[in-house]
Amino acid sequence: MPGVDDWTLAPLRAVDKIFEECGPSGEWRQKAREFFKKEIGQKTVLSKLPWVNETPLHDLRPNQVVRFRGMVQDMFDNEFFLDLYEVRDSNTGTFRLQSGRYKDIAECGAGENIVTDSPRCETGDRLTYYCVPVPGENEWVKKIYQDMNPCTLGASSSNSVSRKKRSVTEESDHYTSLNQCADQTEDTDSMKMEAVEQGENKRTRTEGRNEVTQDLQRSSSEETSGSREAIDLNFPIPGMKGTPCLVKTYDDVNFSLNDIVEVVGILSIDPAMALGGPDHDGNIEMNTAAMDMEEEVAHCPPPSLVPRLHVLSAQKVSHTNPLLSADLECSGDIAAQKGSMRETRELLRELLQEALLGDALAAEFMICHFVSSVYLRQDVIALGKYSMNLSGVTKGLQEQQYTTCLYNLISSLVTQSHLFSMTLNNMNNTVFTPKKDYKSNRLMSGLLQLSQHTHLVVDETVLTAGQLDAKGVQNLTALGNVINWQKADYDFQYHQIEQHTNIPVLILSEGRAMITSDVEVRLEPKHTNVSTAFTQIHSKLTPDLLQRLRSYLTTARLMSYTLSDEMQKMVQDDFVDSRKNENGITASDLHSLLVLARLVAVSCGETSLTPDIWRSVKILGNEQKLRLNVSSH
Amino acid sequence: MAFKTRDYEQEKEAIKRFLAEFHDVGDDGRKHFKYAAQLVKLAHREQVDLTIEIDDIVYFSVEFDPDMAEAMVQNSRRYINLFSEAVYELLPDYKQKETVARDALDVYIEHRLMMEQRLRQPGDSRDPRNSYPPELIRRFEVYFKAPSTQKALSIRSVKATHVGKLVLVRGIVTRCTEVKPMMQVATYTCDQCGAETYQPVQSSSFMPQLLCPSEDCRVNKSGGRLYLQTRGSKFIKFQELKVQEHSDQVPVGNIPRSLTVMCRGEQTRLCQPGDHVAITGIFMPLLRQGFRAIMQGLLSDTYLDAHRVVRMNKTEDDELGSEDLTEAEIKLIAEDDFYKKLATSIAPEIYGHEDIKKAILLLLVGGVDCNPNGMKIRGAINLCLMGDPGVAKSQLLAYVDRLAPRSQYTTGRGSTGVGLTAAVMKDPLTGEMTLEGGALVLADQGVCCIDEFDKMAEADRTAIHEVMEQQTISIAKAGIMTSLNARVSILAAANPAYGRYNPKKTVEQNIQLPAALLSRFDLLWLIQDRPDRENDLRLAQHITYVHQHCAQPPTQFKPLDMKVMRRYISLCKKKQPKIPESLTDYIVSAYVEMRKEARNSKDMTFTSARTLLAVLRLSTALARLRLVHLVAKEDVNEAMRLMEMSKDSLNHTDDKNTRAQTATDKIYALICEVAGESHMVKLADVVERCTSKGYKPDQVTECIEEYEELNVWQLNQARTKLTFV
Repeated sequence: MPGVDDWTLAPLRAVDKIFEECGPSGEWRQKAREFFKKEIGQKTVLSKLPWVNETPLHDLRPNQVVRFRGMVQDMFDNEFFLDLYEVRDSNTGTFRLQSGRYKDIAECGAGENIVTDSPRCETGDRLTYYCVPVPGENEWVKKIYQDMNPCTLGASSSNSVSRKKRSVTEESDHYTSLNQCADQTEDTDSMKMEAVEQGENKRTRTEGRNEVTQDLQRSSSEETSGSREAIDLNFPIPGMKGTPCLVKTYDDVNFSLNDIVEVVGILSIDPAMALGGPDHDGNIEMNTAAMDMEEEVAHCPPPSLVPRLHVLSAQKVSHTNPLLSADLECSGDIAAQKGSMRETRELLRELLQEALLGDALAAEFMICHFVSSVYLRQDVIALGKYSMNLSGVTKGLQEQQYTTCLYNLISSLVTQSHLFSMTLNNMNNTVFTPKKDYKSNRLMSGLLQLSQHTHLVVDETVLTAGQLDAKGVQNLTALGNVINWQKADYDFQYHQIEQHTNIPVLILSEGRAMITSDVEVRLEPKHTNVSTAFTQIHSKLTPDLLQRLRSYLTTARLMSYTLSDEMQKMVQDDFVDSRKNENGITASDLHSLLVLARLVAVSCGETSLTPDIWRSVKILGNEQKLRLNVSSH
Repeated sequence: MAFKTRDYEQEKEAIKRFLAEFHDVGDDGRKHFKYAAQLVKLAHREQVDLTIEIDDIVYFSVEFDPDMAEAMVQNSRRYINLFSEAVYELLPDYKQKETVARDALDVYIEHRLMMEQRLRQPGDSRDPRNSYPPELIRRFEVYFKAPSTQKALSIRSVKATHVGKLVLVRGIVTRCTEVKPMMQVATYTCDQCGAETYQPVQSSSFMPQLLCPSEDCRVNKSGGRLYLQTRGSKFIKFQELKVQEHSDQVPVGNIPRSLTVMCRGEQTRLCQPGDHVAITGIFMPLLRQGFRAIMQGLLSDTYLDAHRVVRMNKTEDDELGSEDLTEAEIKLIAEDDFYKKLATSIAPEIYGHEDIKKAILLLLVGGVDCNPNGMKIRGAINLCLMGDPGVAKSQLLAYVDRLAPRSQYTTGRGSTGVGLTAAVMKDPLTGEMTLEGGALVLADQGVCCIDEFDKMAEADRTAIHEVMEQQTISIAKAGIMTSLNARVSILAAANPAYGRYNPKKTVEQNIQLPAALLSRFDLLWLIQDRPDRENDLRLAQHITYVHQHCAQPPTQFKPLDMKVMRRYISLCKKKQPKIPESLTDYIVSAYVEMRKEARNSKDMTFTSARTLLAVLRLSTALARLRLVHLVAKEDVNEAMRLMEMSKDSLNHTDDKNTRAQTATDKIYALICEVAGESHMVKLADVVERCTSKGYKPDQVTECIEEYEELNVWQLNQARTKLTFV
């Protein structure tokens, strides 16, 4: 078995070794999988792996093991590859078998050819997911991952130089640099030509050769300079930055769209792959299927922009908070925090009260909104969502940039968030719902393609009077669907596909918002001095406190919760009684009260509803209603 | 692997025998040689494609080689070639007369064959390089049809193990290229010796030959150049399709996958983007040529080589699953309360409202259209739900929208009359006027759900009048005069005019809809939100249960799956039940009774001839639901009961507070009325009368028993007669 350092830098060699040990018909696939699983299971190994998200690509070596976290944005069709292929050495005439797993490019040395029609070749299939960096991931999350990233720049660069040297000398080495690769293609290509054009004179041959090299040069220069703008990386949030990845999975792992995944895989950034794209302008090969052109371009972006990852292990994560371990249940993070949760909640409430200019009620609701998450879907209703409309953001507050200040505070607390300025222009021009583009066969992303628990803050105060065009109306409907049903209808042109979302939406508005949310809280500021309030907050926010609040919010959201039979009975009786007294309460009111009860309970660190909480929830609900009634009269 | 050891020569003989001898016995008792007849046509160039049904092979080869069919599925490409060779060898035997040349290639082939016969001495072997490739001479195409036992795969499940095999997939065509000629055999002539060279093209691209390989040129080293001859080359039609999975085959949270399909020859031009198709074909790896073969050495593109493309419309694709249904169906019908069960399966998350759900179920099934003497009487049932805010009207509509196979959902506020009916549009490119169907046209043969019906502008509402009775839309605008079909059922939801229903006002005043429109609804339903201890408690229990257990509370049964519902409803729609003569009198008298009553009591709804039609529609829908051909008396009774209930919901809005009359009291009053002067009443009459008034049989029995205990009357042993004491 190769040592730890060895295998993370040269995982393919480890595969080859296992392959040799077991033989082509043996269980090498199974063995390799087990080997990686065992190695990655070790915390020490895992922590040594660099994150693609935080490391510039030029600091990473091809074919080394890396980590990546991202959101599944699109799924491509099955990809068929040679799981086992035969290579013929034209010099010696010998055949040997090679494993094609975890690779994009076949390895063959000089004078070697792949025998594609050999009966010993085996075809396998793998799934490709197009993953983008987690949309709306906040700076502090990135920062923490950055600090945790083990990549040491100096060491790695010197290392790679020595590697390159070795690759020239050692024939069996797996790292093929660009030069080597180009050489190799040229060789094989010209060889083929030789075979075909025996009678041709030498002039044309060299010309042809030059053409190939020119083409190579041109396309590689194009790739580095021109194509950066040309290729749309398909990010949900316009202007987002980061490295998307093509994640190729071999085993039957099944991710859903918009899942956040954490992947450990072999990085494949061989520039040769990019040549698939530009060579379409056709001088080398006439592509018969004209239809595939755009598709190929879209599916094979240059690896310098979109590296490929061959998955060794991948898992869906329930949160991206770097302060907590990936699996909350096992690690005991919840248990550790549970005791202090009420206390933390109080701290958070104070903080929010300050931010909401002294409004205690709004602060209570804000906490509930922060920890809301859809926990149940039943045909059309989604329970657990708690979208909130904070109305009463007056002109005076707007002038002091209140919405931005508030959003900045929110983004420093939650892991993912996005502020959408609901101007007419934005409404009419932003793409909201993802749409399938059949020409390039991919899903064009839209703003509403967000992973779960991404806080969408909609600033309605910037909306001015004017005309919404057809697209704007559609966008508004789409936003309304997310708020009311937590679903988005992705446009597949011939039909729509309903995609469930789990995005808490907070609307900041002056009057009542255009789209009704689960709860509307009218802001009642005690004072209107925004800047002093926020300077106050910033002085209070020590790193320790921040860390505590951040962990608290993620933990509270993921807590389990039950409703005991006695409490159920109490709730039922309450409902019947209040129906008798006043005619106002309806079934939907009870729904939202129960959701609120859940949120208040989990935010207090309780796993079940207590009579106290139920009582306080009823008071909260009444106060909120009262305030709305007062303000509307 | 079994098929590796097969002897293909022997196989070919078997194929020949199969083609020549396979027959089935027709109705007239004569043998019908299915393939031999086609071979004759092929020989005379009257037919191009020959489709081999593997089912026939299974049947034919059962005695001597039961594995052959399986081998054909597993290794289809090889067998296609075997069949082609066999057909090729057989064809001359089937030629009965001289054929007329159909195209240039026919003439060309004929000339070559004649030349060969003339020039060659017998026994002189021809240079194999210059011989005619079989692809050039063959003018037929052989296709396989997958055995009927083979299940259609979703594109998702086509994996690497299927490479080389015959697969059957279903999907929707998303893109297709134009039909282009593809070279199958390239023919060259040499500029030096004039010899012809043929090059069969197997893959998507080919390297043209440049040097003449003929004997003359090689020996003389004359270096003859080859030139491609377009007229002598053989081209076939070629089309590439992209097929995407059906949305119902896609697991939640996944993107539909797609597959490239290559159609050749006769399989081209069979479908267009948007069509639902089932395609049988061989799953093949695509060979890459030249440069890219090296660059992407490890990847292989795949495609489906189409053998049979069948277009289906959306409803037909459910037919494939019709076998699955029968079992569920039997289970359904076996239970007595399937009507109730079906009804409660509609929007199971909405608690109660059983009668409304029943009405919606009938709307989905629809009544029977009838056209006596060209007059058209609609069968579509229209339903209007009115109600206080927050009584889940919109949820019901949303559910129906999802359940109905064809449906449109609009809101009254958002759509104009034009948007609902049809708009005349000017095509920006050609400047032509075109009609663009609105929601009602798009929902033809389906359901149109209109939310916030009351918010619709008056002018727009009138556009619906015609649709609701005549089921057509007439357009006379911008020089276009036409009438479009809009056979829709309308499910409307409206809020009362004053926010809440005001029982002191009439229905019209409450929802501010004109009588002309209201009378077009078969059923009007008022859903009121009234506090009621028992109901409230059950509602609260329902809600808390959902919050606690993340699931529906356990009812007596599991709600039916939407797919099963959909299938069952489409099955119901196929029935065309009739109303038997014997029932007409009954219906007429019931109608007269209703009219009388409407006159007497201060009715807030309308009882008109339309009501009678509504009863007929509802009863035919009920008969459909039971999958029978004749409407029974119970159907009429149930239809009347629903009408009564719908009226009840409108009329008896507030009498709860004034009178404490229970159902039993009312039934007693009814029975007394039936009895009149006499002391004896037939129980059947009583039950009939009561059900028509909206009471359930068990309520009636309850009442009878209660009053029997009070010694008001007596029931005889056979339970047929009531005698007043």
